Amino acid sequence: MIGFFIFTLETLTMVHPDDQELLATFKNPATKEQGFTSIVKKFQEKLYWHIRRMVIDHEDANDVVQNMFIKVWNGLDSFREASQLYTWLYRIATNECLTFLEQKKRKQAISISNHESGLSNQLRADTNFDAHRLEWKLQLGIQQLPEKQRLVFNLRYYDEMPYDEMSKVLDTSAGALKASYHHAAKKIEEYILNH
Amino acid sequence: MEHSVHILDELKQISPFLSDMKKINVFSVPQGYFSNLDRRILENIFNQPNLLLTSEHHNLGVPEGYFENLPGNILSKIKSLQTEGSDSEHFPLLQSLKNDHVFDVPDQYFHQLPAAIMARIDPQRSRVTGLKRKTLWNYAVAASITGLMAISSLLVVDKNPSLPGNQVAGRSSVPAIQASYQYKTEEQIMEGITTLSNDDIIKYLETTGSDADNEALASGVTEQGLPEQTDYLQNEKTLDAYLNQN
Repeated sequence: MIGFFIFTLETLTMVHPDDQELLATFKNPATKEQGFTSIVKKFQEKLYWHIRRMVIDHEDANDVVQNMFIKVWNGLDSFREASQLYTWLYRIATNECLTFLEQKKRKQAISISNHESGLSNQLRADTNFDAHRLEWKLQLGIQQLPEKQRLVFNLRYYDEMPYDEMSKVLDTSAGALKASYHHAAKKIEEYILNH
Repeated sequence: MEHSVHILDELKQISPFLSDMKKINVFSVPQGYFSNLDRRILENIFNQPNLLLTSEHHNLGVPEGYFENLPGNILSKIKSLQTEGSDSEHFPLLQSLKNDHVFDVPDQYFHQLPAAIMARIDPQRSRVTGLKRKTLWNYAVAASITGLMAISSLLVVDKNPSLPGNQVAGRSSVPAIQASYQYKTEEQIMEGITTLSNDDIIKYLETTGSDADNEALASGVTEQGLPEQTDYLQNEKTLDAYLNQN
């Protein structure tokens, strides 16, 4: 497809206002849209990739990311500033992902194991897919994991999220998350070495 | 955020193999996707008026017409709940009020009521009416048939002693009277009564009997001829059970 490129550096070079400033701008009716746009720009890439790694397909990820930001628009007035904005956004994104995957499973009327192999098939259908390259094997290994382990691995490995923050996103104790990440990494290693 | 070195060290302990791998993003996005994502999301939001309404009125107000429609909406909800489940489940308040009476009765009313009712009932009459209707019916039927057959037989015997049965029968069109011609003595009449079926008796009374006759016959029945009190009390209970079930 024309116009595709591997990664954008745009947001890496941008300087974003801090969360308190963004929230104040959003809560002022005169600058609400401006504040919302700034929030989207600050978090869109991190959230998009978090979603994309879960749903694999770009169009699906685009739907989910737009739906989640619409929910953010509706719910941000009631956001409690005691928690971190990015934790709250990850939580919404994760819930949207899981809801989307659940709906997809129902539509396809297939079992969970078939659903996971369905995601692997989506990976294989990617135009850039190369079964001999390690990075693609890693992705296939991740898709073998149960949904929750996949979330934990992605949040820790790619997003480098601390366990206490992940605990707020996934409503799971930090100890259980550590164990889950450990099991996930072992399973992925085993998959890559055996394929 | 935890320092990435710390996270890398953690992974080294779990899987040195994975920790040595370079993090490469294998996925791609359309060019310019992130540069206008915020605008597309805002377009989506503003293309859905309900979303704006929900957000703008989240803390300070309510949707237009909300209070005007509120009573009707609540009543509709109540009606739908009434059809869906029991009162106790959905309306605990209504259920708790269910046994609160707003009407008064005189003191001791219910305590005295049975005695007051009984005082208005004639003891003898109450005993007869206390009989099971079917039992009384059987006595009445048996008595009336006996009387009728006896009278008919005597008339035939007295007035036409020499006529053959078939000729006599030809003079009457009433089947019971025709049948009675064959009985000449009291023993024959009693034997004939015992051979009658219930259906024959009921059929006869339906055409010739009346409530007045039955009551007159019943009043002549002595107490010794009646069933034991426990028999019909048992039947009364059965009737009550039936009425409660229906």
